[in-house]
Amino acid sequence: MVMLNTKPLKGTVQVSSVIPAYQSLFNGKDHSNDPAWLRDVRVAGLASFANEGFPSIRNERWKYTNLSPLNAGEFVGIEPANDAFKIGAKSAWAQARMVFVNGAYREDLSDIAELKGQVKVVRLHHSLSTMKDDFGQLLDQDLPLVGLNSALMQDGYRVVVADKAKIEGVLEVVFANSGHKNAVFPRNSLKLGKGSELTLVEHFIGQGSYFTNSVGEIDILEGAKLHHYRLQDDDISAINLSHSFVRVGAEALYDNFALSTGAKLARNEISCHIDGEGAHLNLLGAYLVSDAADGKGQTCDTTTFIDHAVANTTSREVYKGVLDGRGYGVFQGKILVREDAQKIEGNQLSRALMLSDKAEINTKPELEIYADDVICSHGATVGDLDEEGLFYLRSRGIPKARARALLVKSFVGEVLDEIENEAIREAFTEHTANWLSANAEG
Amino acid sequence: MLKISNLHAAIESENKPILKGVNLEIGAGEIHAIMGPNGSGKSTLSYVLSGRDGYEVTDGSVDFSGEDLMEMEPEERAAAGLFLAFQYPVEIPGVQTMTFLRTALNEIRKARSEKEIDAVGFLKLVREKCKSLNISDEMMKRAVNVGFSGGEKKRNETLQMAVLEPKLAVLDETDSGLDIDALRVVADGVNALRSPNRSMLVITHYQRLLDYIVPDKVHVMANGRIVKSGGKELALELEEHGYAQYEAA
Ligand SMILES: Nc1ncnc2c1ncn2[C@@H]1O[C@H](COP(=O)(O)OP(=O)(O)OP(=O)(O)O)[C@@H](O)[C@H]1O
Ligand SMILES: [Mg+2]
Repeated sequence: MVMLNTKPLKGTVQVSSVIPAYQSLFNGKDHSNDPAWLRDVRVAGLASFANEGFPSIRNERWKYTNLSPLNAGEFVGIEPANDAFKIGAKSAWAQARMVFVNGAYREDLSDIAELKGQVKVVRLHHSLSTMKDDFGQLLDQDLPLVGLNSALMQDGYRVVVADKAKIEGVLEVVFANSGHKNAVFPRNSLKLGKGSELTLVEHFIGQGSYFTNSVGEIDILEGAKLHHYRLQDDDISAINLSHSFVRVGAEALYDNFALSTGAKLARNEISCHIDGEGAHLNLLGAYLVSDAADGKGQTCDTTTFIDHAVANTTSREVYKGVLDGRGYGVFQGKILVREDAQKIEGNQLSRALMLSDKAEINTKPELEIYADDVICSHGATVGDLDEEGLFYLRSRGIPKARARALLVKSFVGEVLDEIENEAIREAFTEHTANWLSANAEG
Repeated sequence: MLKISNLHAAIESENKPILKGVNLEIGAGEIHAIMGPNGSGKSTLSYVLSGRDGYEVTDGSVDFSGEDLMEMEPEERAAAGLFLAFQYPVEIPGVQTMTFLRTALNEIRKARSEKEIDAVGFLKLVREKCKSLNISDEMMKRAVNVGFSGGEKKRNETLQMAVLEPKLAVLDETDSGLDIDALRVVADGVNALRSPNRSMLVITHYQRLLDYIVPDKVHVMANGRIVKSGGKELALELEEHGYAQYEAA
């Protein structure tokens, strides 16, 4: 008889010094002002992180993205806000802005009063004491990275839009980080009242080898619409692991677009629970990666989970990747259609354009369907730049670099064009064009 | 204008010789036609002239207005005044025809140290050319060749030629797939470009096109060589007797 090794996987994972490092970071903080319930949440969070440490590639959810750079436990410093890194003026398309520098709210750089309408925009830090029933309700605290964030989070945005309030201006939230191997743990919370509407842009920028572990909870009540845009333009040496948990109510819309060009190691994870009939979900995005500062490639991981828990709901996912140099892309998209959730439509598409022989991508679509009246599809394509097209353009006098840029721009443009807000669409298109002229025109 | 001497070219990946010693000289303002059986190397010649990857020139030379054409990048050949109307025009999703054509024109002008054309001036120019070629504004807004019918693609090639105003245009079966009226429109477009310093090399299977675009010379290509040259009456003779006598040779 063959003896099976039944030792649990967790016990075999060598996590070295990383767990004690974050435990002592936690112990070094003063939690005396936290309400008792929050202290409980933090302790539970730390325990869930300590259970596994940073997930290894043996963890099915992380098999394509290697977090070993974090395992030495070096990313523990929390540096004070410093002015060495300049934060530019508010973006032209933003009506109001919140700025967090190295995790700390910067009142001098923010102007939240500008946002007109029935909306409350505050620092999460200031709301915590009253958020007992609203905090951590949508997320899965058992996930080690979520647990770590719960244990160490300090601040982030808390936005509450009143019922029926349609907020016209765009709210921009900047997460700017700088420093060497420091860690920041933004925690955000967003609630849209019934029939309300909001456009929000999260903007990550920075300078240095910092580590961001961000968690957000987004609750979109009946009939509300959220346009949630994200520009991840972190330093090429940085690590950004973000996870948003979204609940979408009846007849509500969650419209998300994520553009990623930064960080040496990034994962943008979105978990959506659709729990009201007539709801629709748009998960769109583009990522452009090349060589990282250390000569290895940038990693950009997009992981989505859509839970069609009720009937008559629809979702659409389109992600486009441009991979140059040693760039590495990951797309994992899971769609779950529960029993009795009839009349579901879920379409998923991942397309990657490889500009280099050394670039790589892993795609894992996963459809789990327990209802029968369902239309679900997934498609994944990986291709090189079209040589025929390139020659055609060049034969008309367009130089090679420009012809390549035109073809790449049109590839990404297809999904950028779906950004509903025109000013943001233009800004994201310009950001993409700048990346291309800096990286891919060679 | 163009002097092809003893040109040998092979498909790089397969080491397969296709052009086996082509000699051809086209003077300024002349129109030459090449006819010949399927697979004889006509399109290969046009690709080698315009610099497409995948061919190895194993012998011979091509002189284009005093320059060594084979040493130039495709975009440099275009800037020098060479234009190829493709037998199979390429579809380019996501790039608007209008944007494409304006980029091309301005890149060529830049390469020649000429002033770039602005959006208004360009629109005017294109509108004019489109009108004479029966091309709608709507077509210009669509992605390059995407969803174009066969005939529309060929008209689009002619439009590009009209806008870019080359010194030497190679038309590879621009007449194939055109209905009678479209053939007329395209031929008129080509004839409008005739000038004492613009030459053309017209590849075709049909004598009919040469009724409209009357060539100075007609060549027969068979098995990678020009095997016979003559005046326009040669096209009529080919129409009648076919290529059998040349293929055997
Ligand atoms: N990429 C390739 N790989 C292998 N063989 C090729 C390739 N391209 C062309 N050939 C071969 O080269 C020969 C010449 O082809 P070419 O397209 O030049 O012919 P053509 O004279 O234009 O024919 P047609 O009248 O049918 O257009 C053919 O035998 C063709 O099969
Ligand atoms: Mg041919």
